[in-house]
Order: sequence, then C-alpha cells, then structure tokens
Amino acid sequence: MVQKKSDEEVFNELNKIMTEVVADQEDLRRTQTKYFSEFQGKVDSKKISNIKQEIEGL
Amino acid sequence: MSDMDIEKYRPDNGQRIENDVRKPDDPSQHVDGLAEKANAGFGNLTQLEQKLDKAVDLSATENPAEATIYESTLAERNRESIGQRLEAISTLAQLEPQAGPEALESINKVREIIIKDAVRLGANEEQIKAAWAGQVVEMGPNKEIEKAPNSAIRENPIGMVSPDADRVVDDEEKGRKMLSQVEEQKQQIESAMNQFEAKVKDLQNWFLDANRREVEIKQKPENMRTDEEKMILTMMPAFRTLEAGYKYDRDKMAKGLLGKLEYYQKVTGTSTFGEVNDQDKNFSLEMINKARATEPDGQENPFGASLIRLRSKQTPEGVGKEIQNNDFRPEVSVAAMIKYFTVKAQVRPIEY
Repeated sequence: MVQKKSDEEVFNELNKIMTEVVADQEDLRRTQTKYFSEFQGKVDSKKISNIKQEIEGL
Repeated sequence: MSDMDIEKYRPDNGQRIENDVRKPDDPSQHVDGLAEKANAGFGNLTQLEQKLDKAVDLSATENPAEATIYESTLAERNRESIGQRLEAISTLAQLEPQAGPEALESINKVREIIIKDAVRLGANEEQIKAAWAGQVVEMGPNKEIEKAPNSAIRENPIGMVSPDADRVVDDEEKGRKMLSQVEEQKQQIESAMNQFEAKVKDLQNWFLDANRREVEIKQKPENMRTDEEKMILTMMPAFRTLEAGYKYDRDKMAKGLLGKLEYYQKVTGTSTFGEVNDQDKNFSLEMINKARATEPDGQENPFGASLIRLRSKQTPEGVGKEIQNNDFRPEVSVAAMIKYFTVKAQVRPIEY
C-alpha cells in the first residue's frame, strides 16, 4: 500500500514543479526574444518598401 | 488552446477526481498562483513564437541557410523544454497515488497546464501518455536548462521578485517594440501580396484562354496577328519552358508566370520600365547570358533563343540603356519579370 503524503508535502512538490516550469518559460522567452532581436536586424525594410511600391505600380 | 481536451492524453482512462473543498489561505493557493503564472507565460510564449516565426519567414527569403540554423537551434531549445515538461508530468503521476483528495484537484490542474504547455512545445500524444503513466521519457540532453541564466528565478519562492526581474522586463519591452515593428512590416507585405494574388486570379481566365488560342493564332499569317496574339505566341513557349524548370511547385510557378503575363500586358500598353530596378536589370543580364536555344534533352527553347539573339546584339550597358530609354524589348522585360514575380511568389529563380 502506498503511503499517503500530507497535503502540505504534496503542495510543496507541486510548488517545486510549477516553479521549474515557470522558470523554464522565462528562459524560453529570453532565448526567443534574443533570437527575435537578431532576426529583426536581418529584415530589409528597403526591400519591403520596394515590394509595396512595385505592387502599387501594377 | 483553452478548449484542449487533455483527457485524451490520460493513459489509463481513469476517472478524474472532482474535489474542491479548499479553505481560505490553503497552501494549494500557492500552487494556483504559480499555475496562473505558468498559464499566462504559456500565452505570452505562444504569441512570441508566432511573431518569431514571422520574422524567421521574412529573413528566410534573404538568407534561407541562416534561418534554418536559427530554426534548428530553437527547435533544440524547445526539445529541452519538452523534456522538462514530460519529467514534470511523470513526477505528478508518481505523486498522485500518495495525495489525498484535496491535493488531487491541484495535481489535476497543474497537470492540465503542463500538458498544454508540452503540446504547444511540440510533445506528441505518445510521449505525454507515457509520462502520465509515470514513465521517464527520453528527450535527449536537457541538462542545459539547469544552467539557464534565470536559475535565481527558479529557486525563488512564489511571489518573490527575482533579482533578474528588471532585466526581464526591459528585454520584454524591447521585444514587444520589435515585434510591433515586424508585425507592421509583415502587414505591408501581406497587403501587397493580397493585391498581387487578386490580380493573378483575374488573369487566370485570360491565360487559359490564351493557351487554347495558341494553335489557332499560329495558323494566321503573321501580318494578320494582333499585338495580343503576338504576345501569346511569345509567352506560351516561355511558360512551358519555365514550368518544366519548376518541377517542385507548379502552382507557385504558375502564379509567378501569370503575374509576369499581366506585367507584360501592362508593359505592351505603356512601354515603360519605370518599375524595373538595378537588381532586375542584373538578373535580366544573367538570364540572357545563361540562355540556351536547346535544352539538354534536345528540345528547342524558343524563349532561350530569343534571349541569345538579344545577347548577340547588346552589351550589358546596352541592356540597361534600353530599359531606361523605354525602348521596349520583350526579351528583356520577360527576364526582368521572371525575377520580379518569382521573388514575390518566393520561388526559386529560374536556372538556364
């Protein structure tokens, strides 16, 4: 028979699990923000402007 | 995502225990607070990922190789997170039999949030089922998470402000501004592409009709052919030649060519090349230089032959001058338009 844990013990475990999930989400967000920043610099706004102008000229 | 049926991931089809008898200030409320935080983070991450995808798509048109590397790196990072979520689900499974009825409700709630997050990250049904059954699911190396720079946040009790919190807010604010700018640029492109798509659709009937008329036009004496009929005879062989080069995606190729035909019509009507830029001219030159009159399989290539005729008459400088002087040459316009529309349709340039 499995020994029962007290509610407090279970909540402490849950607390730990969720803290780790939230921390990983934060880390993911940082990683993605960093990559996003790098990509932003690679998007050529002039090219976009050219596309718009050319399409409008059709 | 809030409507996701997480029950399909339950490995044993067991009954979920419904119980909510918590008292005020119950320690389970701490778990609820974290669960809400995780849920909010889940939504934010989804939005951020969508924006990031758009940015990657945009940059991929300019540097596909680099975009692939970034995508791969992000995918690996996601795998680490999936591993962490599966491990958490597995831990919950081990915790469940030891919990009383009151704590079970919180376990269910936490599991629901983590499963949703795992699915968002790309975990599959089998992996989640295995984790829910308490198994350890291997996802490759995920130890890097333990070295994450925000480890201080991880160790903080609920509600405490992390030492990194201010920096996180700054990063997020910058990220939001960048997202907003890219979103605006993306909308501009989408709007332009929508206009283009609408025009392509209008032209489809014209193209199909031209395809049917080609044989009939060929039977007419040359001096009896209208300008439009001459254009059809020029464009149809070009279409077939180019289409053969686009074995991978005929639909996109057709769109690009239909757009080219429309442009051709406009050009024949106005005799202006005001919209063609240096890049188009250079591509025209490249097309002309690489053109061949006969394909490797021996088939004639009238379009390539016309480009060769042009090549024999003009220097690179001459091609540019002609465009600037509005001296219409179908061959030049065709080459320029191939570049113009294949770039818009995001298809591979044609190789001659």
